[in-house]
Amino acid sequence: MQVSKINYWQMAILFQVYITGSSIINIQGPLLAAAKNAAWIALLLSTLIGFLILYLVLSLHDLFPEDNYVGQVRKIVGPKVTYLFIIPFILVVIYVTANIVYGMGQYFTTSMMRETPLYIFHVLILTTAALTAKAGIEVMARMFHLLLYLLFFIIFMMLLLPMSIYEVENLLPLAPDGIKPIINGIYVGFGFPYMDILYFAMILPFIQKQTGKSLNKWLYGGLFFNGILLSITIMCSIMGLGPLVFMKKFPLHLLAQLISIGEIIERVEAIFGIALILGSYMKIALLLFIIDQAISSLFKIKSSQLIYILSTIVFFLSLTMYKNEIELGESGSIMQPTITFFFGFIPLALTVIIGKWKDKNQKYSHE
Amino acid sequence: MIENLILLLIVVLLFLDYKKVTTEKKIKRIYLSLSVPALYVFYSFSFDKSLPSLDDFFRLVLGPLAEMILSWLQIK
Repeated sequence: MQVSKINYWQMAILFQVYITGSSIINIQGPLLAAAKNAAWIALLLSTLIGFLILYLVLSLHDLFPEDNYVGQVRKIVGPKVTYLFIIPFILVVIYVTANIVYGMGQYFTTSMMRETPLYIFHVLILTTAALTAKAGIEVMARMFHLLLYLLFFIIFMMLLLPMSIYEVENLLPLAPDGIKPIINGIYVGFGFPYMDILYFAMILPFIQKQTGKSLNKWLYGGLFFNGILLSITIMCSIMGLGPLVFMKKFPLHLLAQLISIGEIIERVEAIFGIALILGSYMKIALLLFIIDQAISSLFKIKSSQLIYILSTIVFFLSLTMYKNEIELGESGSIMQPTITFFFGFIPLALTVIIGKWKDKNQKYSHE
Repeated sequence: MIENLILLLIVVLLFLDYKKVTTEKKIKRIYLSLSVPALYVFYSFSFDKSLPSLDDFFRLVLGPLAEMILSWLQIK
């Protein structure tokens, strides 16, 4: 069977879609609640942690470029410990996917389409995402290319159009409550979106190697762009909304409501809804693909066979895990960083340390 | 009405999918194993939403630690 491969540019696009897709809409609220005016600084600092996670992921990729994360863990720590590391990893990715689905559904049922039941949004987005994930990585890489440009266009317009109401003074004071809110913001940013970089390690082996080119600089560059873009959205939200920004889960939505140019361009928050659907859809499709890859690699079976059953689990889970938006908010800001640290970051760091140590020893024995 | 129709469609889709993908015995076993959590969350959605979920599991394992970290971060 021919394995689909994508080129460096497509991989960079997928990485950007993955890391920016849903976070560009969802990150402002939790970070502003945690770090207040310094949210943009906290985000930039958590991007630095993102660089560390990406460095660890790429270290493993350099050791075993043909394997995904599951294969790398198996080769480094052995098959038994692999189950110990990967089963919680799969549970965490399922949990994160269900959170994104629920977040998207909640936004629509609380702000735009209040009469429509939650499950309608969930079933529609999961069906579309499952069909896309089933189509494979190559199709996703080609399709998300255009959608990413559209997403960025919407976001840039939403940041540029309300420029007349921006007040730079709203950014001050930078850290009125000291350093702890900033650390809180870094903690939130670590759990979402930067720990998600680890899950992307399942996609890296699909790269088509090109001589003289390096994947690393594309991914580091993509992460840098993501950090700058997300912090700009936070700064614009603070400048445009002032103290009101700390009370809203989706500040960009409110910012879009304030857009008024002449009497032609007004109340464009529906466009924000489109951006939210686009970002969430692309991220969910990639996450479903990742879960399927992880299970297939763990049990050494043909991939793309389990996507529908996994989507069904995510669908029901997203409808039963939380009773309201507050529970989701608590879970995202309190639980997710701790869960991803213990079930994602620690196994990753251990695998890299052991892998490097083994690699070094092997080299020494050759000399 | 729509809810029941969606549930029926999901069951039909999974049945067809199961028939299509299960040419290998190993895949069949894993597919059926995944059907157990799928049935559990389906039951939870349809009949008893108070049943423990994945979030509750994580809260049970790491909840106290997460609360401790948060309370430290929120002390001024």
